[in-house]
Amino acid sequence: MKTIQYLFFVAVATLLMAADCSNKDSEFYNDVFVASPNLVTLETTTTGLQTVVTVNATIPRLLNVANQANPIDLFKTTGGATKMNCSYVVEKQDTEGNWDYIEVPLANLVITKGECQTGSFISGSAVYNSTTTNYEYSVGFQSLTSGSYRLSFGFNNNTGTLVSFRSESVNNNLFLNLNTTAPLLDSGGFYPFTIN
Amino acid sequence: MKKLIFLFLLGFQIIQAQDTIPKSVLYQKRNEIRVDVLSTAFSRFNLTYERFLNKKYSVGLSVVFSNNKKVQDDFDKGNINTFSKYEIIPFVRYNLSQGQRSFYFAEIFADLNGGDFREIVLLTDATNANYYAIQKSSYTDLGLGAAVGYKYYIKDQFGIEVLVGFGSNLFNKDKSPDILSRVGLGISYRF
Repeated sequence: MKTIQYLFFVAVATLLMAADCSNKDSEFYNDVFVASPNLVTLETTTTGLQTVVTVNATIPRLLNVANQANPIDLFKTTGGATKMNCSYVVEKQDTEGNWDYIEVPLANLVITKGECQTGSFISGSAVYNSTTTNYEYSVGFQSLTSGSYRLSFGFNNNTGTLVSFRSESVNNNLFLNLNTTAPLLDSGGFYPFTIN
Repeated sequence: MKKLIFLFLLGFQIIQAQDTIPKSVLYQKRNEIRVDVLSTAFSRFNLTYERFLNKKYSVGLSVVFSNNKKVQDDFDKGNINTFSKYEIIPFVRYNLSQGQRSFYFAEIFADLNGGDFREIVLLTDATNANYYAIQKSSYTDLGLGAAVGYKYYIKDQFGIEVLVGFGSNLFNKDKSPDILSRVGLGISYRF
């Protein structure tokens, strides 16, 4: 009798372990992902002795994305998110050839469009312009000491050559994750520049 | 195939059962109502009626309603995509032990359950622009499952019960939860 009971418990346990697992995990956390190339540009301008390195982003509200015939309305998808956030880092090469993260002081930033915060990395926000219906960002940094530098966006993603934006969505609206590229990044995902 | 193995083992158990149970005052009390305190702690109201047919078999019906704010918040935030609001669970139990005051039991149950389901869909508006949106809908499904448990009576009247089991929905798994859990800590009154 005991043996039969044990067998019964084993059978029930086996059935429980063999039960199906959920197949609905892919839609957790209110996130959608899209990709569209070349939305970020990088430029270095020198006026006199002053060199300014600028990161620009213009993200249309109606964005053409891969594998979809119609453009995606980013503003509608995110429930009216007014910012698309990204981050990047600046490194300087030391005398031994190693790359060290540097903190760019807020006073050294030239903010033309969007918003920006600095620390161990630069956190930028492309802000929605209702007139142009674009999310816009244009922030430069200047007055760096002379040396070799490089800028990269791989801080928040595993693929260094991609630039990742995430919408600043509120009230349980969808978060839109946008992967794009910046044409002047090298194959390692770096934008090298020199300050003389 | 799994269901056939389960039924075979249950049937074998029934054949082997022997009527050696001594008389107990509990034989005269064939009805029981039970509240699951574990569910109550998680804002789920779980009430059960059980009818004891004979020394070995009983049948019953559990009714579960959920009003858990944290689960509702998780559902709204997208951390989960189903929110089970109610379950109606008829069950059949078999006493695996010889005694009546404390015994192990096995159970098979059906589970009529319903609630809300959410998914992210791609839509096209009047200007031919696509947009993603959260779409919520209701679901209803029927599942089957099995459980095992242990019951202990105090003064032939008040019972404490531990129950662990799982089941699977059968017909609407695109929206309903794949897995149905049946876990509880019950306090009962037998009369």
